[in-house]
Amino acid sequence: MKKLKIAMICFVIFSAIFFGRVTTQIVDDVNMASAVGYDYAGGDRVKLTTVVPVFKPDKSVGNKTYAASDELSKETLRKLNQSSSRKMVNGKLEVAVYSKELAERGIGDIVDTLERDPSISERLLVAIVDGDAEQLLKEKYGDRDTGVFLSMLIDQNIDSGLVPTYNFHNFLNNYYSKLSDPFLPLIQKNGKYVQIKGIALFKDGRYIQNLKQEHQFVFKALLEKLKLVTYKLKLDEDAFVAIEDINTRHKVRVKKIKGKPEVTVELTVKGIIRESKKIRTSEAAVERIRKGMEKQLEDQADEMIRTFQKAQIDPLGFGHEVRSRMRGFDYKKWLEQYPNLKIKVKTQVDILEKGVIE
Amino acid sequence: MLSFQRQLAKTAGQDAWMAVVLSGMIIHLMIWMIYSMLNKDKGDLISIHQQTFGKWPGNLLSTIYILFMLLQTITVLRAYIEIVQVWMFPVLKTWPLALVLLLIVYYVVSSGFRVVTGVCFLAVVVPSYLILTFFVPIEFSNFRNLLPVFDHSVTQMALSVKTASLSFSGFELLLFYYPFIKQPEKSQKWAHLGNLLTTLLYLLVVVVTLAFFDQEYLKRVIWPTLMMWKIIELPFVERFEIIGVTSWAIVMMPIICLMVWSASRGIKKMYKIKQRKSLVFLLFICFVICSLLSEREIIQQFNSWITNIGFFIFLYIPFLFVCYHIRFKLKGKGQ
Repeated sequence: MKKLKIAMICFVIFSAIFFGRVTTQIVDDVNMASAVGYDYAGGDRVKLTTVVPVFKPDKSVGNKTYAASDELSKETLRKLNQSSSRKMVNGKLEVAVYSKELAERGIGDIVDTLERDPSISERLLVAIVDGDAEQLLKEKYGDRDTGVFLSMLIDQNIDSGLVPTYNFHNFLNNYYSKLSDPFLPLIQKNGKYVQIKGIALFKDGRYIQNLKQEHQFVFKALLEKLKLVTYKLKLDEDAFVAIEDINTRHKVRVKKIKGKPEVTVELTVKGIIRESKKIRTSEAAVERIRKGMEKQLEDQADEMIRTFQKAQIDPLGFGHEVRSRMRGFDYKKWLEQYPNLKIKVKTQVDILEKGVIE
Repeated sequence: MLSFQRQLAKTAGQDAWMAVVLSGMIIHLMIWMIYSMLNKDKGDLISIHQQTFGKWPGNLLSTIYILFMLLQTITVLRAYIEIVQVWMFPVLKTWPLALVLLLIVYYVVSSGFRVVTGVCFLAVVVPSYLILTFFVPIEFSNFRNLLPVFDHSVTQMALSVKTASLSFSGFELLLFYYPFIKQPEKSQKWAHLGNLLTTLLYLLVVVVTLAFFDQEYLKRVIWPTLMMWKIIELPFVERFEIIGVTSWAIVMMPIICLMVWSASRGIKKMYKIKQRKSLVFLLFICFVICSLLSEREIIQQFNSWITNIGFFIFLYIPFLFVCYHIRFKLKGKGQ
């Protein structure tokens, strides 16, 4: 009886080892793509470019790209493998870029492959390229491979620049939401450099327009708390002031007037004067700067929100703000009301310091 | 636990967390009912059934109950293997993994109830670090998603409570292991505390899930908990969900052990079959059915059947409670 038992257990272990094996993937023997780019290739086809870092013996990192096109993104991966000596895997993907041309046709269907795949991180950074994604990824920029370089570039601009905190998860949340629309950072290859050009706005998964450069500050300030950014204030024809180390906070209030919601956003900005051109910084002048900044911010916000309403998009998620404050929220009615909704931004600016000189 | 949020949010939207609280209260009531029966009877489900409905009808009911428990075991096991297949090893066959896991179950259950409780204890303590992982997604959450509260009709809430209460299932196994507890009357306090802890844990998970996902997106995601783990980034491991899925083996192991133990114990008591013999038989059935469930759609179908039957169990406990007490009163008068 005891022997039988031991034999049974041995049989179970043996069969588990023998039949339960899966193919191994050793880190050194696979190509881990760090970035992927999508271009429009005519018809239903999409051209896919992947960047694979090449670790050289002298500790520098090279950059190798593979490109192929097909209707399905996973099929292109198979085609890429035909020209690669090691198997391509996408578990370490950091950045996905889509060309503007493709984004205009809608990227909803193409995002599916990244969303469905369990090996893709929710922290994946997604961006739109003004131009050709393959051209952008082919070039090597810093001392790292392009994938890591792009993710560092975008991350740096999220932390201390004007790109809102935005990863794949936020994108999908906004994309599937009935109330808000997604946006993505727009990058551009400029000769030997890459730069963040601005924000690309989407409607139903289709790229429609860019956010104006001067609106980026208000845009980010209305989405989250800003920290340590710089704002350029234009006072007169040729008088400029740079406000630095800005901290912002915003609060949304919704009032219901005759069954119609009215949104007021209170934006508080605190900053320090770091540079002034053709304007003195006396007490009266600081007051002028403060008032000027309040007005400029309000004008920019109003203009920006009006363009959103005209295009019937809601990247700032006012719909969510209203929904969370209203019982029995009606989606259809809201979408009808949205273009004519009263949305006001009130700003309160505090100039904390003006540097080390009067 | 890995996917219950989705079903909840489908019916109750942002109010899903209230369904969890409500069902937690209902379970408290049920635990009280179970104890009030057991404290009088000093036996287990089988003796209660025999007392209430007579010997043969009682045994028939107990057998049906055991069969249902077996099916529940299969769902738990198959659901876990499915997660391993989808998230980690797509080409892994079902049966080798089922075989290995059931071998562990055999080892635990055949060593007796004491070892089963040991495994249960470890399964609470060892993976408790997973609680911390639910604080990471808060960085990307918007708690406005939870507002406005009380924005759903009573029927929607009731449906949601129904699905929520099913994720609490397992407490009814008390009906089997009650006689094994030392000073069982005093254990009621701990049963309620355990239930409270479970409710709080579910509440945390549901609240974070609702804040993390937009409602429309949540409807698409099959395993919201795993999706939340995807956002975690550690310097030494890129994909945290792999650690999570592996840890989950420890979480689901005691559920299977306890159910299989209860089933084999019930069979022993009713039919006088040696527990080890019936154990091998039960595990074999588990293994075969588990291996036969191959596609997602079939697994889904099987799951929804089990959940629907599971709901009857929830209605059955109050029913049994009433029947048992009426019977007890009548008997008292008879004497």
